[in-house]
Amino acid sequence: MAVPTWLESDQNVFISSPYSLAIAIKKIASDRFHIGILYKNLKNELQVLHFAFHHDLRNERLDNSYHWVNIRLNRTRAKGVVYQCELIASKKAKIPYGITYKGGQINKSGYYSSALNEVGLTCTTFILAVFEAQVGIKLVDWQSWESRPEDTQFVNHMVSAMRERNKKNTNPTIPEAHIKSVEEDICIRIRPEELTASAKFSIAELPVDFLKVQLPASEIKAALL
Amino acid sequence: MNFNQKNQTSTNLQDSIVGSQIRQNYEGYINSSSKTTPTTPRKVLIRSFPYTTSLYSQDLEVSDESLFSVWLGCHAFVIEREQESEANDVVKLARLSYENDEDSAYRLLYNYVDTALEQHLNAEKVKNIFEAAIKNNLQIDLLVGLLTVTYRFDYFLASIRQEFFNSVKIKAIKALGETETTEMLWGLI
Repeated sequence: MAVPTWLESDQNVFISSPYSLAIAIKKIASDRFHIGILYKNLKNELQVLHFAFHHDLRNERLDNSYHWVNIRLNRTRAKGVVYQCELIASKKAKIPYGITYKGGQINKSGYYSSALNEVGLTCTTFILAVFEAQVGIKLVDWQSWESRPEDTQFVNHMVSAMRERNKKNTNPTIPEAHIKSVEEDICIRIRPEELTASAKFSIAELPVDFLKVQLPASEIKAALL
Repeated sequence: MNFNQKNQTSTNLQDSIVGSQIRQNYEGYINSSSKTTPTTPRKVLIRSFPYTTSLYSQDLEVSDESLFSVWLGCHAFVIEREQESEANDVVKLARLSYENDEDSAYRLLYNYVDTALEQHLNAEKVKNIFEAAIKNNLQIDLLVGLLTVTYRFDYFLASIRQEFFNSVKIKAIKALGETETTEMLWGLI
């Protein structure tokens, strides 16, 4: 399937565009994506701030593996958000992994403040934690999200990945109690392609709900998987 | 006459005295082995802080970045000064810095406001900065930056932010028109 026109991949176009912020997405498995905040700093360098895994927050140069959707935010407004991203990136935040978002936030000092009964964040909800709770960018109405049976497979996969990681290290880095919390938590998963797709909507249409984002999310999936 | 010129004419004599004092203490600060431990020289810096804006790029010949370092170095002692004039100084310095180096201006304001909120939960300090920002015609970019950095403290600053938001909106509509202002301020309150 053809790549939608709003799903971009040309770095030069982004550099010369009036936009400084985007959601960047890349395929990491045959059925899965990973996403991060793509931002253009004052030196016109393209950086991706992304939550890679449990206690692993990264800020890296954009590479060719990503596509992205621009957030159509006013330049002045975006500038303040870019500064927040840079400041968060400069801290070594220890964010636990967890699937269901309940309103947690990352503050400028780099600390993760979980919401009540929230286990941790995913790459997707990390972006919500920064945008929604910290700088007022509400891309999705996350409380409208629905639980889907196939997300159980995702939970199982991530739980196995965490246990696998512990086996490889001499000292387990993810406490078993935490893994159990992820396993037992209710699962309402906001998928990476869904949050990415929300950025295609105009500011006036945001935040978008679960149903509205399904069509553009399926377009991303068809184009990139 | 801009702020810088005004200060030049009114404080020339003080500048030359305070300038050398600042220079000495600035060098002391830069060479200090521990930048987190308060030292007496930095206290002197604070007392001379009002003059640093007029000395900017002249007596001291410091870049925005090093001026910012000076400011950060003495920040811990700013509480010694009257809060209202402190807010005016910070805003004037940010306004001036912005012309040459946006980055320093943003960081100066962000760091100041965030320290006031994160460490001290001091709404009065933020209110003073907001008022000084409007009074001193701070650039629209920086006004929006102030709204952004205080967003997550809205639960604590609600009425103060609302008042500041309204003032920023009026200024922005005059300068940019209704449509651009609406987009720019989207989600900030």
